[in-house]
Amino acid sequence: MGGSEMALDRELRELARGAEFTATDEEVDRAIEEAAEELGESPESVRENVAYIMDSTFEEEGVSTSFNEMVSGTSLEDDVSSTGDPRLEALEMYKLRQRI
Amino acid sequence: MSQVLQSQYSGQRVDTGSKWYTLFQKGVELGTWNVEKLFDEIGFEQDRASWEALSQDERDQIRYLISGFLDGEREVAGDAATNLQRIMGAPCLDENTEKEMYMTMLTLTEHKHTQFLDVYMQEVMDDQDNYNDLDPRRGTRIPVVQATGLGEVFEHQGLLTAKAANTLNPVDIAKAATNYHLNVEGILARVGASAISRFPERADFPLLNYAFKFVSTDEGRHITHGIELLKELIEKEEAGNPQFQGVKQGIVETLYQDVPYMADFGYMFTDALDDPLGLDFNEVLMRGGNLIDGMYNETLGLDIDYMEVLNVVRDRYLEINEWDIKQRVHEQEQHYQRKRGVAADGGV
Ligand SMILES: [Fe+2]
Ligand SMILES: [Fe+2]
Repeated sequence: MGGSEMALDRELRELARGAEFTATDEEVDRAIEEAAEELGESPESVRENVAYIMDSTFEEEGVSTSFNEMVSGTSLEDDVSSTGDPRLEALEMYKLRQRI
Repeated sequence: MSQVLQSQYSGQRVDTGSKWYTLFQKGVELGTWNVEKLFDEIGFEQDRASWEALSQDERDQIRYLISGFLDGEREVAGDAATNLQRIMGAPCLDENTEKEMYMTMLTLTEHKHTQFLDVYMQEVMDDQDNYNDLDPRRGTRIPVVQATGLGEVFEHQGLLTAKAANTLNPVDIAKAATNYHLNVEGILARVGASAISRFPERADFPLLNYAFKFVSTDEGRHITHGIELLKELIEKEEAGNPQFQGVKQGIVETLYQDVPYMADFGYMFTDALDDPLGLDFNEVLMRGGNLIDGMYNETLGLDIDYMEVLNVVRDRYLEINEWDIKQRVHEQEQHYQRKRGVAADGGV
């Protein structure tokens, strides 16, 4: 990961008015480990990007209504073609982004 | 925020601790997804097959929704490259260098969104809405945008951002940022995206879905930028700086000016076509209310009665519901086709 000195938060937070977490923390941790392996990146870096994709704001506690509507907003709950969990969905997007 | 560097050249140094530096850097890392590679990776096949299998009414519904996006993306791309880029250098703002850096990323992503939609509508949809060859800068919009009030919101964006770029006045900047980052990106784009998420199973468009998740991720950073910019202006107003008085009032006014026309977007991809895909105007409306509450009240600390806002929208709905949208769109299409004919005959 590049040079931003601002320590980015790696905590994966459920947003009060965003998409609900449906997977377990263990499932998410495992998926992040696997993705890191696959991409040749550290799990910390992958986790940081997943957190950032879900919430790019500078709010301490995050925002309640996600700014990323289709990935961590409530819309995800209606999206029948998605993973159903905002953390896994953000991870899918990160993996795809690294491929393209 | 911008600390360090007492040197008289500090304005030329990049402050890597700036929020806008972070937005820029994450834009470089996450926002430079390659549209052409996405086409190769996902392919057009499934989207084309789903398109073919839908009824004409269902296709029209998706066309109207995606058309609103195409016009919007084009418009934000154009205003970002010109007006917003200039505003980022305004003397009343801090961290100009980092803001200018970030704005190039915002502009780049908006052009990629336009690139995706333009190609996608041609490759997958019937491509009957794109009259860009007639040049939007001379008043050409997508027929359904022109035929409804949605065009007014985009028109307002052009006027407000041009004015702010010209005066570099804090209140003008606040109004421009409200229209652009809150109303267009924060509300219109997000309610439109939520409608794509609600497509029923038979409307299975994996390429569209993935692309819009990238768009949605980019828009998350754009909205963050808008919120931070407005917070800066509000803080300076609250600190008593005379030049900034009227910022909050300008933000609220801009919401009320845009909101009835914003409703037209929700209407045109739902009840204007009897909603065969079940995207549900009321659902769209409630979503919009939620987003207004989240951005204006919760994040910016303003006091918008969003139920009152929804009443403004409902009044507009009753008005537009009387219109024959299909007829209006048809007339607009004919108008453009005549223009095309003139252009083909060697006219200008
Ligand atoms: Fe966009
Ligand atoms: Fe945007």
